[in-house]
Order: sequence, then structure tokens, then C-alpha cells
Amino acid sequence: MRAAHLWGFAGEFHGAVLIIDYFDQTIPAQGEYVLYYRALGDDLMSEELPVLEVKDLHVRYGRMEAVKGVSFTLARCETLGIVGESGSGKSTIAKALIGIERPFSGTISCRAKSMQMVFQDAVGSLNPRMTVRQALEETLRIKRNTRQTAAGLLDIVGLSAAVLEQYPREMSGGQCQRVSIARALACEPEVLIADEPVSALDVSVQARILNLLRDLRRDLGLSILLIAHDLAVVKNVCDRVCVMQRGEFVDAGTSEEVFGNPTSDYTRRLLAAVPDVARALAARRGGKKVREPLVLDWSVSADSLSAELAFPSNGVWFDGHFPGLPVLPGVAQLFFVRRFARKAFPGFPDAGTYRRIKFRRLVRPDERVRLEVSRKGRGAFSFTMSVNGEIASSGMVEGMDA
Amino acid sequence: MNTDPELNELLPHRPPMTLLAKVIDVNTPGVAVALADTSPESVFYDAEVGGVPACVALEYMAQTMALAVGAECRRNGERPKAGFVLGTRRMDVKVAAFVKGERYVVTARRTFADDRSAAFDCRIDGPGGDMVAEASLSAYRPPDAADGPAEGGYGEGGE
Repeated sequence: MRAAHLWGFAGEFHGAVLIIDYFDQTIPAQGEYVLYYRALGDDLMSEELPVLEVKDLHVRYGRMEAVKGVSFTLARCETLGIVGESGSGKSTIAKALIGIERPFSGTISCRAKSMQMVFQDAVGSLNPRMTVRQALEETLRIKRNTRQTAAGLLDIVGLSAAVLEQYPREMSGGQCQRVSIARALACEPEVLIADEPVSALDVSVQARILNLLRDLRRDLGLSILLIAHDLAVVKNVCDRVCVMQRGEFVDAGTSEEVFGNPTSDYTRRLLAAVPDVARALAARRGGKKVREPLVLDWSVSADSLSAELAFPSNGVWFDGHFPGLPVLPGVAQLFFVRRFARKAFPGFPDAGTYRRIKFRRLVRPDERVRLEVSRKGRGAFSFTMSVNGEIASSGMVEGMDA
Repeated sequence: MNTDPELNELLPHRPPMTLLAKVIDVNTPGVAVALADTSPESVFYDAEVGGVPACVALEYMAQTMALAVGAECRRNGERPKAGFVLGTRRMDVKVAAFVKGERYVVTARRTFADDRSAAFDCRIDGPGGDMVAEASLSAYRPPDAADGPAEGGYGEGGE
């Protein structure tokens, strides 16, 4: 497998950088690259230099040019989004980076010791005949990684050791994607390429996987290249965004720049096609005060509720609680936990004992708030409200007869 | 309805988020007693239960705590200071709702205080004089409350 060889080779050169130059005239045959390895001084391994640098990359399928001279950099601990419609060439870039597709010309400079990829089809990317334990331990063994264990990897991606003996078919799509990410982490990558990692998942699961990616960047110092067709996916996760159309970047900049002030008509059209929370919130606003939050997502099972809410800035709760500081009061959080939990669980109690109620983070107007409520027994429920994975409030409610 | 002007003087809160109806007693340092607002005008009134749901007990208590602090500020010639409730280890509420038109007396008694944090034992007595809710609440006051807590949260509370 070319990709494995390529990056495995680079991984053996600590303190080295892998530079791959592709020239259309110098690649004699399919499968043969012109590779340049060289030991580097401290200056080139500097933390300040991009971990990945792509210059004038061209990829062709026969006469059709899928990628037309794309250049970009990925800094250490940065999340860069490449977004565009199907067929725009964004996944081709990912394939070229890991060697699945052979570029026609251009330069890819990688200062990472290891680069791993996470695919859209999480279930399909796992071996159906291997348990989670087998899949992870095999990767650890091949990579001679003795610093980590299968259970430890699961812990990093937020799964319990209970899934170790499960096969992919026994897990949800979200769980499979977490296992897939855990397997990538077994190689201790510095760069993670995530190609449409959430597009096959439910909206509520998408947010959790994206939060996981964001946490991994923060906790492990990963650099992430996130490829997606959905602008909403990249908007809340990426530091910088490149918008791609027909093989070229038509817009690039920080997320705020691209989404706040798009320079190309194509980006504006893409943005217009996205059901944007801010737009929905703006539509909800008028001069009138509102008493209800927006419900953006709603998923209920027998024992759990997961919902996404947004509290518009013209909500009555933002007035007068902390003058000059528009934040959602803790009591309003409790009130809406109760409101929505009662819709999901008719037996959700009012009278009873409220345990370990904690308020940890302020909730500001228009922020997306994830509400999770779980049944913990007869008449007992736990809850959390979180923003971008940070818990805003949490606690338990036990009815009188719990 | 909260028409008591003393509430505006002692609390940093402003309508519609002032959830108390009347100040009863703030003369003992570290102690405040007030009436809860259970009228249909309350932001948290729920017609389905005919009053204000039990969970709002936490805010009745928190605002009564703020009242005790506000009274202290007034004695010292200062303006009322805003604080943030961190939580409670346990709050027992024996009623499903604070029923419209009924009289609920909220008492907050300080048990601990330093420059930045304080803890209060709180209780709510119902129309018959029986205690219907109780909790110990902890609160945090940033150096400059107008700035709010530091970005990223204001620490663990309630444990």
C-alpha cells in the first residue's frame, strides 16, 4: 500500500521532513514518485513552520483536471477546512496528500512524523471480521506503539471499554467513527485528515464527533485538515476555511472572514443554501421579546434525550439578570431542562431532590446549546447543558418516589 | 408582581428577572427574608402547573442571598454587587410548584463568606408555615461583577 509505505517511511525519520515534489515530466510511471528526503536543521523543524505545505498542486484524471494548482498551508494545532460541493476536488486533495491519488505536478511538504486519515464511511473503513480490540491492537502492534492500549485509545475518543469486544456491525455510526479516529490515533499522528467524517451521521452525532475533533486538537496538539461539503460543519470547528469550486480555491481566510464577508459568488450561494442558525435566529427576532428557545435538533429514546437549542438575544431571560452582561441565568437553564425533559419523559419530576447542581460556564445569546437528559432509574434523571463540548450546567433530579 | 422599590435598591437584578415580590427583613447582617413572586407575570410561570415550577426554588433562594449581600452593601454605602450562583450539592423541594397567589417566604442565612465566595443555608416556607424547600447554595463574586466571570467558566461549585 503506497500511502502506508510513504508515511511509514517518513515516520522513521525523526527530525526529518518529507518533501514530495511532483513534476509531470519526472514521474516515469504510475506508482513511482520522485521523493526528496533530507535531514533538517532546527530551523526547518521549527514549531512556527507549517506542518503541511502544499504548493501549486495539480491532479488529473485523464484529460480532466480535478485539482488545478491549489496551494495552502496547515499550521501546527490548526484546523483547516476545505469545503465545496461534490466533485469540486476537495477529496482528491486528501487522496493526493496520503498518496492514494498521484498528483500531476506540485509540491507537498510535510513536517509531520505521521499523518492519518479518517474516512466518511466509518463502518466500511473498519474490518467487519475484527472486534474493536483486534482492530486497535493490530494497529498498535504494527506501529510498535507500546505507550498506548486499546482501552486507552477508546477513552481518548469518549468510548468505554465495553465496546472492545464488539464488531462494527454491532455499533452505531457515531461509535464506529470514534473507533476509526481511535485507530488513527494509535499511529500517534501529528496531522489528521478527516474526509467528510460526519456526513454519514445524524445531526446530533455530528456535533459530538466535531467536538471530539476539536478536543483532540486541543489535548493532543493535532493539526486537522477537515474536508466537508456542509459549511455548517466547518464553520464552528475550523480556524481557517478554503472554499473550493471546480478544482480551485475561490475563497480562503479565517472562518470569520469567509463566513462573515465571502468574496466569491460561489461562497455566497453555498452560504445561502445552508440552513443557518444565525439566520433562523434573526428571523425569530423582531422587536418582540421571546420566551422560548429555538429547537434545532431533537432526538429521544426510551431513556435519553439529546436536543440542540439556541437562545436568541431577544429572549426575556437575557434581560435584567446580570445587568450589562447578557448571559442565560442558571435558573433558565434548569427551567428549560425541565420543560424539554417533560416533553420527552412525562414522568420527569418537579418535586424531589436536585443533586449536584453545578453551573460552570456562561451561556451567551445565540450560542448552540446541547441538552442531554438520561434516565437513571425510576423517577431519576441526570442532565447536562453544554456549549461546544463545555458543560454549562449539570445535575440530577430525583422524584419523591425515586 | 414585584412592586417593592426596596428590591430595586438592594438587588442588582431588574425586571423581568427579579423573581422576588417583597422584602420582609434585611436588618440582621448575613440574613435576608423575602416573599417569592408566583404571579402569572413571572417569567417562569407555568399555567400547566398553576404556578412557578419547583426548580425555580433555586433562584428564589439565590436572589434572597443577593438581598442579604445588597443590604450589607447599603449599610456600607455601596451599590449592590452581582454574583453568580455556582450550584448546590442538594436541594429538596417538597412541592411540584409554587402556586399562584400563595405566600412563600424565602430565607437565606449566610454560613460562610470570603472576598470572592459565599455560602448560604436557604429555605422556603409555604402558606401553612411548613418548610417546602431547602438547600445550601454557594456563590461567587468576580472582582468586578460588571465584567462577569472569567471566560471559560467560573469554577466548580456545589461540591
